[in-house]
Amino acid sequence: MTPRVVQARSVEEASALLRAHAPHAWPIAFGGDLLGLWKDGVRERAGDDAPLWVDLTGVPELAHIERGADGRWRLGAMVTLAQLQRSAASFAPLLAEAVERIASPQLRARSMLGGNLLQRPRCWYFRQPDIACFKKGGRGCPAVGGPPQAHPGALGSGPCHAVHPSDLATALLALDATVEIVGAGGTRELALGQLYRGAAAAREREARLAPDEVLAAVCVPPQPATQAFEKLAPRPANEFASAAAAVVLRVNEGRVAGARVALGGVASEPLLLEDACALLSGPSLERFDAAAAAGRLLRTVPALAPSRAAALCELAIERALARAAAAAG
Amino acid sequence: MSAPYADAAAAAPEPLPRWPDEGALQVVGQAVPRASARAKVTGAACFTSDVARPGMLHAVLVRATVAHGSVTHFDARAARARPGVRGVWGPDDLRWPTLPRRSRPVIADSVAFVGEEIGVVVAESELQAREAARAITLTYREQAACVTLQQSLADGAPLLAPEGNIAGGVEVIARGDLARAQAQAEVVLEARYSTPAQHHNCLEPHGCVAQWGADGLTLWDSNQGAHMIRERLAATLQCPLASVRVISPYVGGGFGSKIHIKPYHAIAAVLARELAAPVRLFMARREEFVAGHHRAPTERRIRLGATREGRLLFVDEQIAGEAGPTPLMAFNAAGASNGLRLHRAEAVRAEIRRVLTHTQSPIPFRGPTAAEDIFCLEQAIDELAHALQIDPLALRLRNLAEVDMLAGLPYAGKELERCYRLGAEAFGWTHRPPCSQRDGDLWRGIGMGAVAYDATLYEPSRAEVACVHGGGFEVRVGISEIGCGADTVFAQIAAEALGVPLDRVVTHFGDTASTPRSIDATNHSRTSAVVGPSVRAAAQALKEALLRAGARTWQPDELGALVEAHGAFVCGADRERPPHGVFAAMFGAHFVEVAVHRRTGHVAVRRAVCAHDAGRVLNPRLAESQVRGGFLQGLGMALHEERVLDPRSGAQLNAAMWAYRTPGIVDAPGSIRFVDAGRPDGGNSLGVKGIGEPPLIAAGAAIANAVFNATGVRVRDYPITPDKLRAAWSGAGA
Repeated sequence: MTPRVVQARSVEEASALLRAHAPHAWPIAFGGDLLGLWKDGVRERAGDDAPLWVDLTGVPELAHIERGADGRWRLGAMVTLAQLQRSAASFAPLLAEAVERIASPQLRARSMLGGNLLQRPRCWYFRQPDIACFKKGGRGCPAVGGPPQAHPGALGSGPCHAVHPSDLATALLALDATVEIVGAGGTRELALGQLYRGAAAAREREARLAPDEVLAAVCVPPQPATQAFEKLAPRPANEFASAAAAVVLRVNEGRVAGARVALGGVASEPLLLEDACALLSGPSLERFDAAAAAGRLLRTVPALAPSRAAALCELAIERALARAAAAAG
Repeated sequence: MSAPYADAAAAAPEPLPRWPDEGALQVVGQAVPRASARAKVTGAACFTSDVARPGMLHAVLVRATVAHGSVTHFDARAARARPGVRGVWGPDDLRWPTLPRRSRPVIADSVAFVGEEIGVVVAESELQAREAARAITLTYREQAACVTLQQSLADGAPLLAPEGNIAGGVEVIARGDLARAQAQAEVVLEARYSTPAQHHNCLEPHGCVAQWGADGLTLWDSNQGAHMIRERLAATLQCPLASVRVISPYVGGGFGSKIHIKPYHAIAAVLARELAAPVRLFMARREEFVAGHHRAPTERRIRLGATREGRLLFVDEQIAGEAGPTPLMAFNAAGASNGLRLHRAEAVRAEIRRVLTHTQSPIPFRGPTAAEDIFCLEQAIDELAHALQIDPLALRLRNLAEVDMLAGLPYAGKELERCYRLGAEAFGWTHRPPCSQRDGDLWRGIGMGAVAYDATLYEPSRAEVACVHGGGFEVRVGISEIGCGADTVFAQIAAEALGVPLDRVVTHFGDTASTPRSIDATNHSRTSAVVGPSVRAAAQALKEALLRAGARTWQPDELGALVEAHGAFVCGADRERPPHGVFAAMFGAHFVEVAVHRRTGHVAVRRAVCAHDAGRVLNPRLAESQVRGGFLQGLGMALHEERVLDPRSGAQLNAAMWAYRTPGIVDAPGSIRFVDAGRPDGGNSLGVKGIGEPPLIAAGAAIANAVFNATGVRVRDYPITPDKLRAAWSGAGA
């Protein structure tokens, strides 16, 4: 029952260990999420399985940030959030902004990119060990009909209504990042927009990884500096987002020529708002009306409109748009 | 004064002559640092959670996961087979004792709230015990439960007591002629408010280490009063009082939660005897939430009547508070007296319903029942001021009570008017209408709130001062130091009385074997005011004894030689006689500025001025610490903190620090300024009152009133979260 912890020396070894001990093996980094789940007795499966935790923090190749020959930045999964904040300021400012709003300086010093992306939902019902729910092997979503503070997602549907809690997922989606996944068959790359597909209907993990796969790195293509991240939460620190928006604009001759706008804190995965470019192109940025633009963007997700999250989503988008546009100045 | 001690109070020693009101004192009133400051910041200070005994085993409680019913099957076979496990006990596996005045043994098969104790595991490590506890298979016979006030008060609700779900029936407090006051009222304001359950969240959880030896039981325990725990534990275990010793080294926070004996004390003691080994039993953070108890959630309707000029005519309240499953702790569910005495009125009336529920019992929490009552009442006063178009400060100044409405007595000292005036001056209070300070998306507002808090709890108490080896002095008080600075102020009092420098005096506390029996517990903001005069009297007696023995210069070597010759000099003094014909109470007024974001609903408390009448302040630095900590807990109550239960199962959904929002450093205002508006009080010979609880009580309403002043909308169901504020002003069309 007490988890055994083994130190992996390479990603391949980690994958082999996970495969050999499936389904009772899990990768662990800092453990900011996994340890809490385990201590609280939040279990995916009943039973007396002795889990094996494969510690990735000692794998050297996972702890670097480097620029590849293709110009993309490769962020190792075991880079700490503090490291990421320092480095990303130069090549992806919105990523640095996102890190700054996560948890607290103490936790950012210790927790890691990969763990942040693969954290489990923060739904209070999921985290309550004695109440059955879909993600804990039960049926249905008890959060539906529960008190609003327990925060099921504004766009929840299906067997689990929980929101994906990662701010970095939202940020990286706007940056058009991909993730590098290492498994038995070698390395594959997956767009971040695909990583959480089907999260609401998956029991044991929200990311589309096989049990023996390791999220090794995130690759961020070069992006224009006209970008910004905004997070709204009940308090300024140590909170998960009620709404988060990440915006990357491509500006050409004073006009928006391309845009990626991602919205977090409302659904089981971060949402990439469709047609952002078309909705944002128009008059020159000098006369850019961020509030009106945010309203137009929000209407592309009709289901959001009646929810209590709509106003916050709109504000997050508006602020991020305004700052990204101002950066073009 | 509680009736059982009336004779003791009458027979208590005459107070010493009062200290002079102005000047003259050398050590008392100085802002000396806390005696334990260095030990605490360096980690040298020993807390109960640091205690480790050779061969110590670890106990973990098994807690019910249903709100009402009984355990029909407690299957511990798998748990017993786990590594390191030394034993697992369910309801029927031992003859579990029953705490005094309780009917349920400390472990039993009956369940009346989620989290109730139904078994225990002991293992060689806490981890092994926790894992084994999870391997226990439980079967319940569940019964219908009432986990909210509404469920319990609904027609056809399951009864928690044969006579009904209102513990002790409806209590009515009434003074004055309400009908007449109502007839005179030109303006009547009525509003409904609700307050959530608030958790203490002590940094150090509840816990103890129990060890039996030839002399009996030694219990290291994190509590607010080691002597009372010892007496109740001996009664529970039915063993001689002399065979129980309780040691409470530094305590990592109490806030009221560690006054009373709890099942864990007796369980640890029973297991340590059963296993003939020291047993450590500490609650995990989740257990602190689900079984560490809390401030009761309440609902109330308040009616105020006044003349157009702002003379308050009546206060009429109907209050319901969640009382938990037993009438025993129901007194913590709701109260009104300190609110009713806060302002002058022709008539006051409160109807109080303490509603039995299948939730854990409420227990005292810093300003118990007063904080939630005054939080709401002081907002109603603000609503009245708004309705009358009178400055809320002016309204309060127009309604200063000179005689205590409930006791029918003049005050032993009352500087509430000075709190209003000095606080307003320090704050720069100029009344401004709601919504008048809008700065883009930031709406600024100011608010105030006041507090009255009785200082009348009485039981016998004793303190000693000794001159010991080397000519040093030791104050011996039978109290637990929960962080208020009792380790410092008693030494200041003794040094003052003895006429020696403070560094010659140390304070010994927290061990029932080597301290006299002082007050029951460090509670009700009274430790200084009650124990302090005894310390002074004991020091005075010691001084006289040393003079009789020939002491001349008070130099350490001279006194050391006296001690060598005669043995240690120890003098004790009983609690002085309480004042007669006056009512002792503390007062305060807080002034707060907030900035509310129009679109997010986020409330930032910018600054606070907290003026208090605490009588003579023994140590301004420690007083300021109390004010800051209390203000922040009041801020949490107003804006962030709430227990959230699943209304179907009664299980707590946010029993974790990340989900239960206590204020953090980024939520704290830039400044919390303490203004000492008091004067030496007539309630005791030191002129001291208290300042532990009033800062929490006054803070909440001041913040809520500032939010109203900023936004023009009033949220009456607390906490005032961003979601509720946005909903309120979208409803108000703001």
